[in-house]
Amino acid sequence: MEPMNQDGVNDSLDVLLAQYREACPDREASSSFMPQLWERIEARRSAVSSSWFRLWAEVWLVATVTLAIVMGAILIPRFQNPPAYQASYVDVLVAADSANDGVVLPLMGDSQ
Amino acid sequence: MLIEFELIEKARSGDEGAFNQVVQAYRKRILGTIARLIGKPEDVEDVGQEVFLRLYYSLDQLRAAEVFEPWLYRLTVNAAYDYLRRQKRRHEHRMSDLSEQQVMMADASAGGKQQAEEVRRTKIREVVQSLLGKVSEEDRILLMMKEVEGLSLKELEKIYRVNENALKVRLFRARQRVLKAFEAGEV
Repeated sequence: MEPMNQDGVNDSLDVLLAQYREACPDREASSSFMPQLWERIEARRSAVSSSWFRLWAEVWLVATVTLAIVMGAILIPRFQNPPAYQASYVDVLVAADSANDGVVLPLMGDSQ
Repeated sequence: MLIEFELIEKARSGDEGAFNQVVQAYRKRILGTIARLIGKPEDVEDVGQEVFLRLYYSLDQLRAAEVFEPWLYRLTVNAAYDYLRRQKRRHEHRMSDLSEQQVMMADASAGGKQQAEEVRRTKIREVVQSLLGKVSEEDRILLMMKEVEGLSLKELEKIYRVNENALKVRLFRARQRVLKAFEAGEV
């Protein structure tokens, strides 16, 4: 191409682009366009729903593990503590009786 | 606008028939625009389907009828841009594709005059695609939307969501780069 002045180049470019527009007219789609489009829509939809399912499953898994850890943190120390009472029920009753020895409880009607 | 907004609302609510009507109303225009933007006939429908796929999943974000067409053009520009970027990464050679296209066109043409006209058109497509290959994808798409698709600055503002002055600067620079390649006779 020979060197041109700026206006000439501008005009030539405009003409070329106009010719290009004419050389590439709007085009009709093929018969497979719509079926393929819906296939892609469905594929995306199932990918999205499976990813949602995966997300939900992950959320529930994390929640379950967290709950298990919290419950473990609360309950395990309780099981590890020594029991509050070492004596049996009978021992406790005997101890209570001996504590009451020598104590005379007033009877109803003594005051009269 | 080629369709009523009620149709879009129906499509948005999940009416597949309505969505089909929306696609059928715009696909010829959109496929033409994509063909001019990417310059590869064999990939036009693939990119076109990507545009309408994106439209389907973004319909719920559409709030007003008047923004539908800029919205659709924006999706088209983005899909074409993504395609061109992918092509650039793959380092595909445009000239081999054009040769193939040329052969296909020549085969399809019946008469000698028709064939000669098709060869002329193919040559023009080849020259312009080669010229646009010298500039970035951004410059290429912006320039095409303005100079070939004939969109106004106001329409481009809605598509690109930048103000008119910024667009003018970008357009001027893009055109200068193309002019430089054109003037240098690189095509």
